[in-house]
Amino acid sequence: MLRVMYIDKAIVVENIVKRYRVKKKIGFLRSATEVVEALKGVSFSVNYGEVVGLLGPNGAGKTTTIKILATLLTPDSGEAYVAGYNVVKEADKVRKKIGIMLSVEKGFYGKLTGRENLEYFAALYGLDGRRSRERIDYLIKLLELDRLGADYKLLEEFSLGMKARLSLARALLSDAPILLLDEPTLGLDPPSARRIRELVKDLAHRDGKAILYTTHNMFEAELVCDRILLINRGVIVAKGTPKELKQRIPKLRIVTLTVKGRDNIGNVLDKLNTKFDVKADENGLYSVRIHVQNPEDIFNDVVKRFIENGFEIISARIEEPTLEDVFIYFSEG
Amino acid sequence: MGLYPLLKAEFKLVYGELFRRKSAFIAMIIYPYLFAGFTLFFGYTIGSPNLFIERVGIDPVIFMITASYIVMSITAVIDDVLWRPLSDTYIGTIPYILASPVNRLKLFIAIPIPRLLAMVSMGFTSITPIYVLYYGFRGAVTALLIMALVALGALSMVSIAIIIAGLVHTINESWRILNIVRPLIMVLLGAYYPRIFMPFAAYAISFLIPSSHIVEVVHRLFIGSLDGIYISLAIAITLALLYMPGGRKSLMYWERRKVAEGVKTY
Amino acid sequence: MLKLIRRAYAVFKAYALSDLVRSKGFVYGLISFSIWILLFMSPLTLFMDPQQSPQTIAAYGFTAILIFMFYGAATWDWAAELRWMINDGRLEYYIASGSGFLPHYLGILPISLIWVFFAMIVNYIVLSIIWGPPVLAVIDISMLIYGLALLLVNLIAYALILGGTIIASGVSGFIMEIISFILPVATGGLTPLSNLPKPLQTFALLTPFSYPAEIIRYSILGWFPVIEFPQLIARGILFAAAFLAISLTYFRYQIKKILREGTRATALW
Repeated sequence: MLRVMYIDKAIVVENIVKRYRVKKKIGFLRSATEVVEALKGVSFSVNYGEVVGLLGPNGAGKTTTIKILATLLTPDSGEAYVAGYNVVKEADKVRKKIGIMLSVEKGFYGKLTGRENLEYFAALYGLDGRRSRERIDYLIKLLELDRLGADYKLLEEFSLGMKARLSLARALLSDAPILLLDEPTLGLDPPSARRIRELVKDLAHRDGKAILYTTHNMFEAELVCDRILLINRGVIVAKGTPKELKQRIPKLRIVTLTVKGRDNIGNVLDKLNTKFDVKADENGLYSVRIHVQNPEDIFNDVVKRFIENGFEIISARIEEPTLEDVFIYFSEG
Repeated sequence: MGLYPLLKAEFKLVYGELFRRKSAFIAMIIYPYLFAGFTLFFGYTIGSPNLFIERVGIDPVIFMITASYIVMSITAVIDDVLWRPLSDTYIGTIPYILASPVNRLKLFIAIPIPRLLAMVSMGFTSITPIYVLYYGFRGAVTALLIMALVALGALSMVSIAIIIAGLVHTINESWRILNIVRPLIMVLLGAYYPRIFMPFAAYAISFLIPSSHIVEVVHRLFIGSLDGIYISLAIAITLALLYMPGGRKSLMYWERRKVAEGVKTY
Repeated sequence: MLKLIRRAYAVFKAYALSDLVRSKGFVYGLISFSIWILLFMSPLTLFMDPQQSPQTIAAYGFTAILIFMFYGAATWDWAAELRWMINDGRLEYYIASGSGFLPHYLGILPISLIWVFFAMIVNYIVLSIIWGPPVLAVIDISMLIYGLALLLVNLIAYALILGGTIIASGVSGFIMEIISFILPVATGGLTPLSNLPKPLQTFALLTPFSYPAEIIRYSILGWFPVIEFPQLIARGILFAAAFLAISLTYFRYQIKKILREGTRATALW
């Protein structure tokens, strides 16, 4: 019955709780057990065709969440469904529907080439000979691993960027509809990171996959994710699109203009009913910063006034609060 | 999912690693001679080969090189099955294996086959030259027969090794337990020290090890006594089959425990 | 000097805590060791003359294993230590600290000796079960001390050569295992030289290892060496001094080489 309810959604998580029991030494022979609550009742869902980011600092519960959905960890309470199947009771069925990417540095056999590693995992995922070969050829091309020598280089000779690409290739081997990617660009150089991000977006928007993407890089989350779940200390503190999240925080936006003109800047700014500051330099350039809740409301008006008063607009931009501001607000507010 | 694709994958994995790590390959060839030579050296120093022949009924050189070959082939299976979860954990591949839909029992059955085949083939470099030196052409035929028996003996250990692996790997620092289990099995196989000389308790435990019966068949072949060899073979195969359901349960237990505490993903 | 002692003590404390006190490996290792002794020693009973005193055989086994344990410590504790340091990522910090390797080895030496001590207790118990309590009597305490000191010097030199080779060229674990097996046998470490064939005897006497082994066997078992004592002592000292000098030079050369070229980061196994 529950499967029917969740079949449209790729991932459904309902009130998941996970506690770890950690042994702490308190003397030479004595030890005590401390309970650490990694997840304290987390609920969310992921649809097909979207990238949902799970964003949080180290120890927030991101990896614990991914492991539960990947059937690598059983929750203490709550339910989680992947492709409509319960991750605990129907783990075997879940495994046929997911592709996973965990630590980029480890997870391959060092004395095998990139292709040989993929062939091995293809066998584990039940791909037959011909299908496996075709799929591997396609993925090696897609991730540009042929150009990087994946066919003949042993894994121990791979750079981190190559390992990341190979790791994503493995996640895509069985063409699973749901991908669980745990910090897939951690430690990568900018070109490799960008390539991975572009691919992830294509997989969701073009191929219709559901992707749960964990990261602690706010900038990256904004680039890749359609929706974001902010998690801190085992609790989802906020969820929404990047824009929705930024609008929820009571931080003023800043309209920044660099203008050139006469000394009558006071005429333009006096009529503004908002906080602002002005700096002038010796070249006659003014840097104007206007603090306002909704910059869209006043931006055109301000620009028009400057032009009417004979000023030349050198540059203009609106500074939004960043996701970092959002995260700090929700986790410390 | 059939066994064949898994076997193919394991062959590629093991042989890829084995032939690219030349020192491991050389060690495979040298070890039988090393262990046999070590024991013979000391045996000849403290005693006499004639006394050995009187007691055991087999020339000590033949006995020791065969014992080394048997132990290496059989421990190849045990080692592969027992150590694979640990090496996969260390390398970081274990989460991908557990999160895959692969049949665990079939995977663990496939795991030791490639190395076993390589080890058994080492009979051509270890026992065959010595047998030919001693017995001529008959020696070569005997070597082939021993290799077949050793292959059977090693295969018969797969199920019991899976049971042990599933139970031991739920313990922290399981490799320390394995460092005890491994030499214990080597002792109880009765390859270096025949079962008939063991104290009763050791003999009783040894009886439960499938390949110890194959070892006894090999010893009987050398002393020319064919009594009861078919019964011994039957006991070995029966034990191996009886242990198989236990192997499956053991793997499920291990996986349940691993997932309950969380598979390390680094 | 005080700095050296402090540094060595810090190393000793770190290893003692991690390898002896907090590690269950100590006990498990001793149990595993006892089973390995059983595996190798029990077939030897099949060669024995029933008239032979089993306790004399046990004493021989005890001495052979004692020397083998020292060789093992030199290979896996001292020579391989540099490889463990590279694998753990500690070597660079060590070199950058400027403290040198002497305090480190002074610190880990007692750990190896403690382990050997406990292993020999286990050895004594296992041999007593197989053959009966080994007949051990210290015939000449000064010769025993001299023999052990000479053995230690030779093994340190061997460890420096093997260790330097490991870090520079990435010797594999399999090769090290083979060396640790063959070396004590080929150099007369485990068997009285008088029991070896003449060519092997000659070869053994050309290596530094046979001298301390002959001295230890004489001082515990009363077995006379193949050459006269004055020669044995003099040649033992000369060989050990030369071996140590060569090994120190070689080791320093390898350290300079890795500072120039970097370490080879291949796995041991």
